[in-house]
Amino acid sequence: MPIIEFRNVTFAYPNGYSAVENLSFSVEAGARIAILGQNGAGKTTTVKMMDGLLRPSSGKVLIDGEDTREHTTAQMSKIAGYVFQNPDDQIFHNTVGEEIAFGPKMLKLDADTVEEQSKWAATICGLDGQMEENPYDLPLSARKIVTIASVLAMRTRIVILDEPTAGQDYRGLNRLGAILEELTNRGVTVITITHDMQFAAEHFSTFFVMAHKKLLRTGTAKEIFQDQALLDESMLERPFASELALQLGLGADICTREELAKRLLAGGGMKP
Amino acid sequence: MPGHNVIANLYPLTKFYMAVVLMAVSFMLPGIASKLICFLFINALAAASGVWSVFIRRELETVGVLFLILFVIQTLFYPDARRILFTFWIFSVKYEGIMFALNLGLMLLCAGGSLIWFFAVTKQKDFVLSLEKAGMSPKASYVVLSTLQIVPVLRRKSKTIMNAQRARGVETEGGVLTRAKVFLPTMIPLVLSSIAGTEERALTLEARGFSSSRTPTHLEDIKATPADKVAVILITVAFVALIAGRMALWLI
Repeated sequence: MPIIEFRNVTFAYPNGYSAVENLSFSVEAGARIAILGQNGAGKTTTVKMMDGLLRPSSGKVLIDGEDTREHTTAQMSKIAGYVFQNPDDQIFHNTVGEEIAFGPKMLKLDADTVEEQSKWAATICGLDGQMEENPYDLPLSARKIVTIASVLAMRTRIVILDEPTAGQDYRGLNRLGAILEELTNRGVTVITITHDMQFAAEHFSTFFVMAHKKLLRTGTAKEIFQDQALLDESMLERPFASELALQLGLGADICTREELAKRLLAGGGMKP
Repeated sequence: MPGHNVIANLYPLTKFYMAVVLMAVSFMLPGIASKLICFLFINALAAASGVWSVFIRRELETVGVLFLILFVIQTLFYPDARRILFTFWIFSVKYEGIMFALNLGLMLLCAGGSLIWFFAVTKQKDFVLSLEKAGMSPKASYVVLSTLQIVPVLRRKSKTIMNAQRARGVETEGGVLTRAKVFLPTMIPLVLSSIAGTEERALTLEARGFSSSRTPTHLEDIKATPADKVAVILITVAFVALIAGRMALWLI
């Protein structure tokens, strides 16, 4: 059974404006999916339907077999953890430690488990040394990591990250990569929205490309970034490694920096 | 905001004058009938300005609710009533209560309605700009404008925060008790982020020369037109006539 299933899902706001139309897809447990698309393509609306923050106007969203329309968001949050785009909409404790422990406490876990899960989340997010700090004293990029930790601490089977890469520096991106590794090792399904094509290409296995309220194509990085018509229609850029490989005449099938380096070292396509 | 409506396009202060006169009139009018006419007039004014649907929705949501509460309480609990229309269970409906409630309620509908009409036909920044042009200091006008704008901003923000809480397992859907419990987790980020925003706002203002002693210029300008002169004269004449009529009624 897929862990996430959308069946002919349409979402329209009360004023009649629709944000996504007729979406159908399913996601297997443990997958790592990046949703790509321009602003306004319907990405955030789609992921918000995965934890019941929005409920479909028509069609069905099944999360772990449960219809989101029959549960409150708070109930869905036990299955799907959602990290908001703006950390300031989420943080409301005076210390990072309290912030991280809040989620597991809401799940009514016993004190030892709360402690253990918070510690785990803090460690993989690299926040061990900052547990007593006030989150508002940290820069925005670090606050984002705090909100990720506070969702991870709930140990949900699905983690949804809305633009985790925005504003992150090199270290932050590496940290995110490590977090994704840890989640995959634990069999957690990760859904992310991102505009960082290079990051997506190197850390995600499946891509959903959205444009004008619809899901245009799903596929691997190689499939997506070689489909010129798709890239044009959805107005997506290639990862820079891809772009560079194309311009150097090294082939259109390169997506990651590693692949580019290998091809360069092999001297493929390069004229001396 | 309608584009080519004659009334809506009047200078903000002209419309404000109209609203103030309407408020004064609603306090001054003697009976229920005249207040009802006044209320109908405001409705007609809103319709003529092309904002009736917005006007009536806001009116019913705010003053309308107040009117309803007032009506029920006064009708049932008016003290020393002589005429009791009918009694059911432990309640009795009192004629004097109904009259009192209608009188006060219609006055509130008129007074509130004139302000609601004003803000429905006037952009906040136009109103503040006209105040500034009439001599108010830019600092004071900033305070007025930010106060007018803060409510919708806070409402949007608290909705976002509430969503973030729901996603963390805070139950916000349900009875009064459930919703009371989320009050704190919602208020803290709301207040904190507002405070955190203060410094940036101060910097932004300063970067735009807010405390400069020069006279500020405006990117957008609005001007009174001949139509405003006509409107002001008409409003004044009508107002004076109404005052005269009221005094005549008094003296006779």
